[in-house]
Amino acid sequence: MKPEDKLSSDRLWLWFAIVSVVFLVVLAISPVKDYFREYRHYQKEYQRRLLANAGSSKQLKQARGFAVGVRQIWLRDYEDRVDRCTTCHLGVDEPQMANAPQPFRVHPVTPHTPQSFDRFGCVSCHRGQGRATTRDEAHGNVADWSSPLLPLEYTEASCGTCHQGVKVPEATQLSAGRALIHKVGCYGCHKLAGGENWQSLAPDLDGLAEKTTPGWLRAWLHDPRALRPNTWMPSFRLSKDDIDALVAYLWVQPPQRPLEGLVPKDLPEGDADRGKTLFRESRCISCHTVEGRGNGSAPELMGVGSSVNRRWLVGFVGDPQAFQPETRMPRFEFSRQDLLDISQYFSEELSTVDGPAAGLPFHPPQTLVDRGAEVYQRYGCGGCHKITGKHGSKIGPDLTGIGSKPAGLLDFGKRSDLPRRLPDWLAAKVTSPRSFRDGLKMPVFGFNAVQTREIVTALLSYTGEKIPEQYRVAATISHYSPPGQFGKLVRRFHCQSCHQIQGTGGDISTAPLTAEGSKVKEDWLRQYLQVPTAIRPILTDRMIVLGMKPDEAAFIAHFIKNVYVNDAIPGEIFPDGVPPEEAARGKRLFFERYGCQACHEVQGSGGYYGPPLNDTPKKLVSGWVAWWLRDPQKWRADVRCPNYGMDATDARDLAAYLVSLPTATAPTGED
Amino acid sequence: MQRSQTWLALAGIVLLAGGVWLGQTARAASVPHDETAKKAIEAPTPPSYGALEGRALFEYYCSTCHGKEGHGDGFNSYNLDPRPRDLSDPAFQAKRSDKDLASVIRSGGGFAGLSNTMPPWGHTLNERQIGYLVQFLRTLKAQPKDGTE
Repeated sequence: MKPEDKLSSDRLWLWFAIVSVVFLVVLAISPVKDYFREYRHYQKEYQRRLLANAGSSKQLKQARGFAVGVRQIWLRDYEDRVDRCTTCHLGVDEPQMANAPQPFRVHPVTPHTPQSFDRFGCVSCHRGQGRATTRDEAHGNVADWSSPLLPLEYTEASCGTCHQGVKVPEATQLSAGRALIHKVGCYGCHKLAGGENWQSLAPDLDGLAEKTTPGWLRAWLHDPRALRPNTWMPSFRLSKDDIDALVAYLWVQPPQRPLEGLVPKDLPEGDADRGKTLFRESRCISCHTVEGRGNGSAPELMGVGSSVNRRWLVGFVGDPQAFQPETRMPRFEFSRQDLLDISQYFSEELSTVDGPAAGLPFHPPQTLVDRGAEVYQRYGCGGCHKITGKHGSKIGPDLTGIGSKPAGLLDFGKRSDLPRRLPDWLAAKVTSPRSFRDGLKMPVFGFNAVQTREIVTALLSYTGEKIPEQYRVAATISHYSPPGQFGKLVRRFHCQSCHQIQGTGGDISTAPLTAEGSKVKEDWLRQYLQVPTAIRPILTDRMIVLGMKPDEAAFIAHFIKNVYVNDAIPGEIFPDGVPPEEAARGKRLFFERYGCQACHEVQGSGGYYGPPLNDTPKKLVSGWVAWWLRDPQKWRADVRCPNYGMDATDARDLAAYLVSLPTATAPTGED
Repeated sequence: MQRSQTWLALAGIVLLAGGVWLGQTARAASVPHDETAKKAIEAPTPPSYGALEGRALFEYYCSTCHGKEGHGDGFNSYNLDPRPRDLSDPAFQAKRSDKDLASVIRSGGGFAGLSNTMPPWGHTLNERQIGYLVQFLRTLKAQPKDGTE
């Protein structure tokens, strides 16, 4: 061997040694890094708490056996998602950790927890980055992670990714927000999920020249809330010029139903006192608000005497649908004199002193009208209001998927004060939409803090995400329209503005008509339709007095009695009269066992939360009473009368007592 | 031979330095982790879902008698004998455990030897909802004594 050869083999050994050591070091990096991982800190702390809390030898054994390592939930049927949040949030299903600080605290009880962690994981409700194992990365507080942790106050938004209806059980804030979106009409300008069945409640704008005055219209467009504090018409902050142009444009739109030939020009004076009585007796405040009383589902009427001219009121109240085909207001069978008196009452008592004077002739120049048309378009008035022959369009940005929009794609404009987070951006958008940059058109709705949180929650719920079929809870949508002659009457009296029939209809009345025939007696119903007695005297929204003709009432009662029935509900259960001993036992149950008098008035005493029960013998079918008592929520899920869990005998005896109560006046039979 | 020993020593030093550096960075990296962890552990309790749902249930089912804020002044309370108590009263709150409250909501006043005008809700509300109600009851603020405030 030459000396040079020996030297080169020495070198080779040397290099081999160096490379081996380097290799070892490189191999060591990973375990070393792992040793210093953040989650180990939490896990050690968690184990310490487990040991400290251990109350039994079994718990102690479990605590000692606690293994440090990454934990994960794998959702095989949800896009193979993997959530490693439980690596640090170790106590989510451990009741011992009720008072532990985060990240160890037990998860609050919700409809899906603790029983379904494995089905939903964590990210599907809380968002964030499920695969990450450091706090910052998992919570998504890192650039480029599009879906950071949802702030806790908005978590209900996530219920709405799967639950697509407006009302989501046990998600109050989300449900309120979705209802608010419908009510204020975001869908008028924006495309957004859930708006498929939205119907604007804003009035049609044909023929305003016959209805109001330019002065009132100007004041209204300037600030609607100043005239009607409860209106949902938002403030568009229009310039004076824009208002003038808009008034001119609206002024020249012809009416759908001209007053000419319908209501004479010079109306005789009516009797305001009689009008007031009629107004009260017809129960107009079941929907309209006057002097702070009213249900609020129809326009406030304070000031109506000065904002709407009397001739138009006479025409409209006489036949609302002729003027507003989609109105929810029913046609009351008022006589000409009734209409004169009611309108007189409006002009005398429901008008404001400084209201605009009666309309002077106003002939706006065509240039102003044209400019008004442009303003009407620019602000998207047609999104909510209709003018015959003109099509409105949604002028706002498409909000599909707004709930998962990455903060980096949001335009914060001038709002450098806002945290760069979607919920904060949305809250600022809905409360002060014009603050982002000049020239924006979204109006100001005046939401308070609670409404803002509700509406942001609802917006966050519309993520546009595709939900696997087995997770989706679709909205129940029903379109039931009663048939035939009965249907015609129902539409004329607008029963479904307040009552639900087979899931379709308004929610002003708590009484669905779906199985009304199984509940009430035909005679009672017929009389009630003509002269509705107050079923719940303390409510403001009571059954309105429509002035139905006897034959119409008889037809409706007969139809309901025979068609709207539920075969599961028994009919009369005392065909041979009520056994007195059953009625006597029922009376004791009523007062002593179940305390029904807390809510119901019977024979002059008791609460006034539920309906008084004195007229039960005339009104209700005994079988229905017993059926109802066993499970009131079977009638309608949100009935407040509690289910007492009573047995069939108790229910029967209570029914026996109620249907044998002495009645004040015998049924009149014919009217 | 001498040269190769120098090489070895040099490599040893480099490795040692590398090892120390690695260890330090790891340690340095773990220090702020400890701090974030500490902060995370001490973060204040966020508003609770249960209390929010509980308030909605309370307003819907209970407030007619118990009053919106639990002061026993709902509009129907005036028809009741005995009148509903002030649920926000600190003495009452201290006396009743969560279990007691849940039990009266579930089984009614009569069951607990109190008035039977308080109905049982255990067949109408589920156990979760009763839990939400208890959580809400614990958030009730005591009425200011008249004259003070």
